[in-house]
Amino acid sequence: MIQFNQVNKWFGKLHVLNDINLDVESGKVAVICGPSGSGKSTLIRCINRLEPIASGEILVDDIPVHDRKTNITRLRAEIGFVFQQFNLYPHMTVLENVTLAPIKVRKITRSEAVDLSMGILEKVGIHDKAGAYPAQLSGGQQQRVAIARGLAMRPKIMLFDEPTSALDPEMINEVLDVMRNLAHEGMTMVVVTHEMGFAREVASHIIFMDQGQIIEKAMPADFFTHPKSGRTRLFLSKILSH
Amino acid sequence: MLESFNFRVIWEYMPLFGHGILATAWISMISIIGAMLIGVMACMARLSHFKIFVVPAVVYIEAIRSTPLLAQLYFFYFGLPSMGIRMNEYQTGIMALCLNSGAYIAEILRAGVQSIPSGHIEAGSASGLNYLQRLRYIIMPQAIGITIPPLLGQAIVLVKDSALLSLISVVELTRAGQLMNSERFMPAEGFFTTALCYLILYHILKSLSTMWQKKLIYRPAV
Repeated sequence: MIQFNQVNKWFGKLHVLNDINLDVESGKVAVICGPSGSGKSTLIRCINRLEPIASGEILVDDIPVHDRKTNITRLRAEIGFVFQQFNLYPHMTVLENVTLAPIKVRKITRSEAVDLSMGILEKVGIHDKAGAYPAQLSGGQQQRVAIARGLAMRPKIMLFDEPTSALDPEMINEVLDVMRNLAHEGMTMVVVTHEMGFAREVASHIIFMDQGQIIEKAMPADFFTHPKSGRTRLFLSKILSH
Repeated sequence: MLESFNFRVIWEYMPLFGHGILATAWISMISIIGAMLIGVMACMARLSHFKIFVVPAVVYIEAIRSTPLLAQLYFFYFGLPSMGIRMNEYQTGIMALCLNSGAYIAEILRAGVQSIPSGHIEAGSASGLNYLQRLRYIIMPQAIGITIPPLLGQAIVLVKDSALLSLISVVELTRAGQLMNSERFMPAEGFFTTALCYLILYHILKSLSTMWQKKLIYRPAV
């Protein structure tokens, strides 16, 4: 469903994506981890063309994402994206945040959009805050609204870029629970995260990146017990020691 | 101080000041509208990704902001006719005010747009909103609230700058004070009345903007 073929990208002299080849099949959950600066956020942001690439190609549902002829807004409508910093629209209520794109992009009526959105807000456990503004919510609540905003477009794919990194520790689980449910429902997901417990539990594959390269791609069981590369072992020893 | 004022003469000159305040008001009104249009266009050109728009916008904004309004006014009034472009003093004055304020407004709007966190715009892109929809639903509602106070400041500056039009023989408020002074030799009465009239205009503008600000600025009740 998502295919990277020989993708390269530079930020100035920094080779931030180095010959990336990757396949994420429909219904699978790919978790990407690695030290900071390894290119994981850049990689996930390329999937819906928030970032351009220098060479190679990325296919989503066999559509070349970076082709000039591709209708990018139509493609983006099929891909939900959840940011580390939530990025809710501060001048709109929770409900308005969630209904904006369905009304303007999917062209459904306001009442249909409200029904749809209230259902999704209920699913992420935040329907009682529909009339609140983002600034009135906790970080965990804001991130669940951001997930609901993505889901309201009925996307085929959900991308998560460090969705819990900006949260207080006690709020991380409420967000991970929503993501777990989503994975169990069969959503195709790519998740950049440092939450190794979550990765072990729901990932179909774990991809370890360092310095712009994919160092290792493995099933969770193998990844944690028999990492092949020395760099993966070093990384795991640092983040699993506590 | 005021007991030495000759209020009878001020009263006598009321029709002239009435004409002056109206002239200042309509000249300013037209100029503010024109300056907003120029400002919006210059700002869009300045923020576009195409050099053919960016370069002229930068040249215009920098040229205006680096030279005094009086010099611009004299150039348009004395310079353009010698180049074969003829306009009356009202057209010249309004054009100078529009072009001058337009450059400042362009920069105010640019600051407003650029103060919107790029993450909000990316979130809009990611959910499939196109450029105009992002502008309409995400950027503008936030930018308008932020830019209203400085835009009002610029409008007030424009009203006061219109006093310079008295130098190219437009009869507005300042010119009314000058006329009274030159006919009756009463500088204190003449310019005091002029100043008072500007004060009235200023307060009208201020109450308008307070009204708009309440309507247009979103306030997430925290």
